[in-house]
Amino acid sequence: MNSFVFVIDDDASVRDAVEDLLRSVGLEVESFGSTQEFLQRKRPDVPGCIVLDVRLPGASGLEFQNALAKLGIHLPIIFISGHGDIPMSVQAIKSGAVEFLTKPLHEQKLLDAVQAGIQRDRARRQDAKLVGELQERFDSLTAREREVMALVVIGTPNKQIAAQLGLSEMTVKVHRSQVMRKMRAKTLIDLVRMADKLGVSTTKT
Amino acid sequence: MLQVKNDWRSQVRHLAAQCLCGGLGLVFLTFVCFRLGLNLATTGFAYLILVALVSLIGSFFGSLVLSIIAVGLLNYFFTEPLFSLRVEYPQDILALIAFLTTSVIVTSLAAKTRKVAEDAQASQKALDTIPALVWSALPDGTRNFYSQRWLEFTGLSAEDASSKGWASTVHPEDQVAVVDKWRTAVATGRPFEVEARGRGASGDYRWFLIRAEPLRNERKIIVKWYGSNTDIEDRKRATEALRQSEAQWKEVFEHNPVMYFMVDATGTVLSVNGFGATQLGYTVPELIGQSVLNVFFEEDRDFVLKNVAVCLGALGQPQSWEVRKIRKNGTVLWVRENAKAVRRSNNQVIVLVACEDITERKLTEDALRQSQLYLAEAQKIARTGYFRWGITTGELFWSDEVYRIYGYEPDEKPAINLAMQRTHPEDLARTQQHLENLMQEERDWEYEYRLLMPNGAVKYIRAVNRTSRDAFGNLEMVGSVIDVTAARRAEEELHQAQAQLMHVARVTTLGELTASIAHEVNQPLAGVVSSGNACVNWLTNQPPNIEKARQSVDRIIRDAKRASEVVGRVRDLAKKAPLQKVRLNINQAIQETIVLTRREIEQNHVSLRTHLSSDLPLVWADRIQLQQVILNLIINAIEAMNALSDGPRDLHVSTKRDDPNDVVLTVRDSGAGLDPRELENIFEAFYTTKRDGLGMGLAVSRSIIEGHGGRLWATPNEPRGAVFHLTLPIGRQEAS
Repeated sequence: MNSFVFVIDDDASVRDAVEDLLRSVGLEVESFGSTQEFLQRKRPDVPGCIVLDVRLPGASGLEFQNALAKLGIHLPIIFISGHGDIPMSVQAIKSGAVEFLTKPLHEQKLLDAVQAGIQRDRARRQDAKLVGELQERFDSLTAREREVMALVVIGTPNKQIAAQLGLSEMTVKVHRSQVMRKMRAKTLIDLVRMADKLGVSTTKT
Repeated sequence: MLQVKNDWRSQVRHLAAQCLCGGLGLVFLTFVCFRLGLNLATTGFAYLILVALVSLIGSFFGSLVLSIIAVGLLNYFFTEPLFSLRVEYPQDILALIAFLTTSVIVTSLAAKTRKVAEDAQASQKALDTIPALVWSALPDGTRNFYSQRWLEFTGLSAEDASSKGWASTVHPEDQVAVVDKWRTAVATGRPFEVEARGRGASGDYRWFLIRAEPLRNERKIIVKWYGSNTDIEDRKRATEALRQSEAQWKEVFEHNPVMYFMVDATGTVLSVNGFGATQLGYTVPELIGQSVLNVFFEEDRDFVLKNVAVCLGALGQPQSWEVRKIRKNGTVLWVRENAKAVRRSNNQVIVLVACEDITERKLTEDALRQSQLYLAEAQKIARTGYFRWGITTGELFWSDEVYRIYGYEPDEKPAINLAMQRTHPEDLARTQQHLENLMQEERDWEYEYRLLMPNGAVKYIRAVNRTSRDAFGNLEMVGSVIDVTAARRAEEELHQAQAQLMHVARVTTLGELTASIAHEVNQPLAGVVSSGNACVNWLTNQPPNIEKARQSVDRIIRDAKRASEVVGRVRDLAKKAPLQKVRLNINQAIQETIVLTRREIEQNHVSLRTHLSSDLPLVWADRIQLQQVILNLIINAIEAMNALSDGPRDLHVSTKRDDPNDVVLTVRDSGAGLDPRELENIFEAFYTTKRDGLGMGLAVSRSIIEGHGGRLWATPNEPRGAVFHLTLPIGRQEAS
């Protein structure tokens, strides 16, 4: 399991029923009557998603979607709406929503959407974790090693790196092997991929 | 004749006296000489003396007679033989002939001398009769003679004149010049001429023209100067007066703020005054001798030439025209030229031109014309025509825009029946009635009517007129007609848009209502569905969770109840919006609403009467909601009457105070009316008698009025139609 679904709907009938339905398929669920309640709650650090009513008192679901992005909360959102409105659904999907469902909810579509959302969150989390590790490794590099790495990943030959940085070719080779070791890159290709993930600047620092 | 006769007599008397004296003298001398025994020669001499003396006083003829007598006496008494006329000795005859000859010569000489003296005297007289002061001078310039007039004028005697000198009589200012000139003349022998003032006896000076010519002898040597002083005082004065008058005219010519030109037949400037030249930025010499065309614009020259030709063709006839001139610096000067061609004494034909600067007037005229143009343009743009109608005199004036609005050509003579021809037939009677009213009293009127143009187009016209009496007490009307077709069309479109909007608003309200209903019902239904799914899941799980399934079913029941409650609440939705009650004047609210429905009323030919009681207290109500209700009632009434093809369409809106606490509004129509059994049903939601009705209006209206603590109900109207009654409690202080 190790996942969590948040249901946000101001209408108790819908909220309770959806919560019940999701629980009935074995998901961990927590429901909120408003977005404020959701934001105040400390959320467990596990993959999850949000089932969000488009029509909410105060900020609309779409506005809340944007607000979450700004807050750095990347939980995937499944919108539910009393009445389907094409522009609204387009807007929601464009902004990264997993699905836009109309009430009354189709059970399977809801469950599929929730599963997809959790999956997407899990993948995002793994990715984020990997990047975090890479960042740790990258942080352990010395300034000179970072310079060398930046040049290596864009395919600069050692000789040129030496010339550009004013080092001997031998010293460059030493730095380069240090970079490969510290970044735990087996091949140059690995290192390039890592640099790509990290967004290492390809210009001279 | 008498003079001649007198002359003759005096001559005869003279002759008689001469002969007597001479005879007596001869007798006496003869006696003396004979007694003394004087000889022939001596006696002859004595006789000669006598004859000479007598001839000095007598005539030649008398002396001649006397001489002959004397010869006889000599012959008789003193030649041999004595006492006989016979002459003894021939030498005596010679002596006698010599005596006679001598005597005749002496006599004629004496006569001549006397004649010369007489002539001198006569010429002296003649000189004195010459109307000038005459004088003469010796070749060295010394004056030796002054005529009597000269002496009389100067008051000097001849002695004074020669001692003091003539120069002292000349005005001191002229003295030097005169004396100098005189000396020069004397030295050169050329004629002397000078004008100078001479002092009279009274001490006054008069102007004289002093002239002198030398008299020369055969050898061309000057023997004498003869001079005359001609009194030219009068001429001088006249000349002076003329000069002054000329100067005056010159002044007028030069400084009069009128430009004078004198040009010849070819257009060459003969003369121009300083003002004229200055106005054109030239100096006088710059213009004289030049063609006058130089100061005209190229394109105006033909015009000028034509005008000059007209002048030349009608000598002495003044002509005038207005034309532009161009200054030396290129700026424009507008002038009015008054010109006349005249024939001068030398037979030359010239054109005299006086020009007056009218630039300012021209500019004003231009400005006026411009502003008239602007006004016309403004009228055109504003689609406003101006007219004036002397009701009493029958005179009618239309501005250009009136012609345009009425679609007549500007050369048509304005007439009331022309205006009537264009008036829309449906408005004709009304318009004629209006015109008759206009003629009755002095006041301002506003009136709207339509025109039916020949092409079938309809124009909406708004006329604003004023009837008043002019200075002569004649009734006249001035006013404007404004083509408000565009405005009317816009208004119509606006009304249409408004009606559509109203319709849309009503539909939208319903749409929102249904959306709201849908949402309200959908939510519990969504809950029911999801809970049902959950329930199934709980039951199919291994092992089945009966407790959870039961909870799901409980929720299903709860939500289903809720859904049915929602449907029940729909009717009360109108109450959901919070009321914004204020104390308001219901009559005002009604009038504002009627304005909104005016077009529907007019378009459906409904005649609206209002009977709004003026002493109503204010009511406590939400203005918008109340007006929606009133609007709904009026529109319903109009639609009800519109469904009928015949019969009057009377809409009557009235207010009154019903009892101490209520104000009543009734909306009465003459439509198809209502079945008495329907009277209550119509207030139920979704109940309608109209084909395209929504069945919500009256239900919502009743909800609103009940929300205000009032009532809304309907009764049948007589003879037909329906009456809707609405009561509202009066606006006592109430917690809002």
